[in-house]
Amino acid sequence: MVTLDTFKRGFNNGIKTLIALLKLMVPIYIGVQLLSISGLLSIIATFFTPVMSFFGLPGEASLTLIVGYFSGIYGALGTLAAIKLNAVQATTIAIMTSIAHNLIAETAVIKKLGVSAWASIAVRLFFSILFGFLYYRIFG
Amino acid sequence: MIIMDYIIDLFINLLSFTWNITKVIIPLMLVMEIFKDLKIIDKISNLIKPATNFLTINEKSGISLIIGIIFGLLFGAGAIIQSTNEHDVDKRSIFLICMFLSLCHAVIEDTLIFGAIGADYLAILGSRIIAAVFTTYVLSKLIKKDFSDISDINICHEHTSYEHNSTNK
Repeated sequence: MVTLDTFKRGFNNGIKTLIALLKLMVPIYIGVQLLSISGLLSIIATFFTPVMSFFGLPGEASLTLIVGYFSGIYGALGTLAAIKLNAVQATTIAIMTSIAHNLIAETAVIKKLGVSAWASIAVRLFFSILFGFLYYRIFG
Repeated sequence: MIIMDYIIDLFINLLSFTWNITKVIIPLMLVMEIFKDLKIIDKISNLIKPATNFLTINEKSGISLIIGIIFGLLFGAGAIIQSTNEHDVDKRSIFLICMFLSLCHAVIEDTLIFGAIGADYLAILGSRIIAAVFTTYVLSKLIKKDFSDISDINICHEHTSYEHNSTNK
């Protein structure tokens, strides 16, 4: 049964999730901005440019991948807010991080069920890299 | 006043970013609650029988697959645990479901969130589904249904060795 209570719960959950996410994303966004102002971001970017050009992405996007793989979708979004990307690049990085993200925490969940953590991480990284590359090759 | 302009710019950017997330999250959470209260999950669990048969996954645990795909890995894992308590679900099915959900979970939320910042919805959703179905199908062919299969023992072994290691620490 859908009642007024359903909507109240949904709205409250939405606000709660939003606040939790902003607590994560805003510091990451500001952090990336600071990296950018200090010039550190361009050093990181130059270092990763050869790797990232494999996916048609600018070197700065390496930060998104690293944050995404370790922290998760919303951390990755925080970095994306600070980096300028075109539609194809945004989709490429979205595919890569949506397939493999938050690897440490999510693998812990998988392990709780008695399933190999390495199998989970391996398939996720494999398809993250493969599909990121394929999308760029086909649509980029 | 370049610094001031910069800070204002940063703030506006942050606000528009927050708004992009807000207009996805709030409606999404509303729809999720409606899903729960209408018991839509129970209703679609019949529809995915062909899918569970195709991937040779235990029918009883098919519902945890749907829950994981829609609500996320944590909810999916919870549903798997519940299904193992209520029914006899083999380790092979759990392994296959975990592999599927590793690649493809919380698809509505993730897809909409990335869509909100200008990525292509179909490409994100499609690539995750293709990756998950392909992986699970290949693994279902590789792992025999026999319980005493080597890969099954490997899974158990890795798990117990992990537990052992963690107690050592």
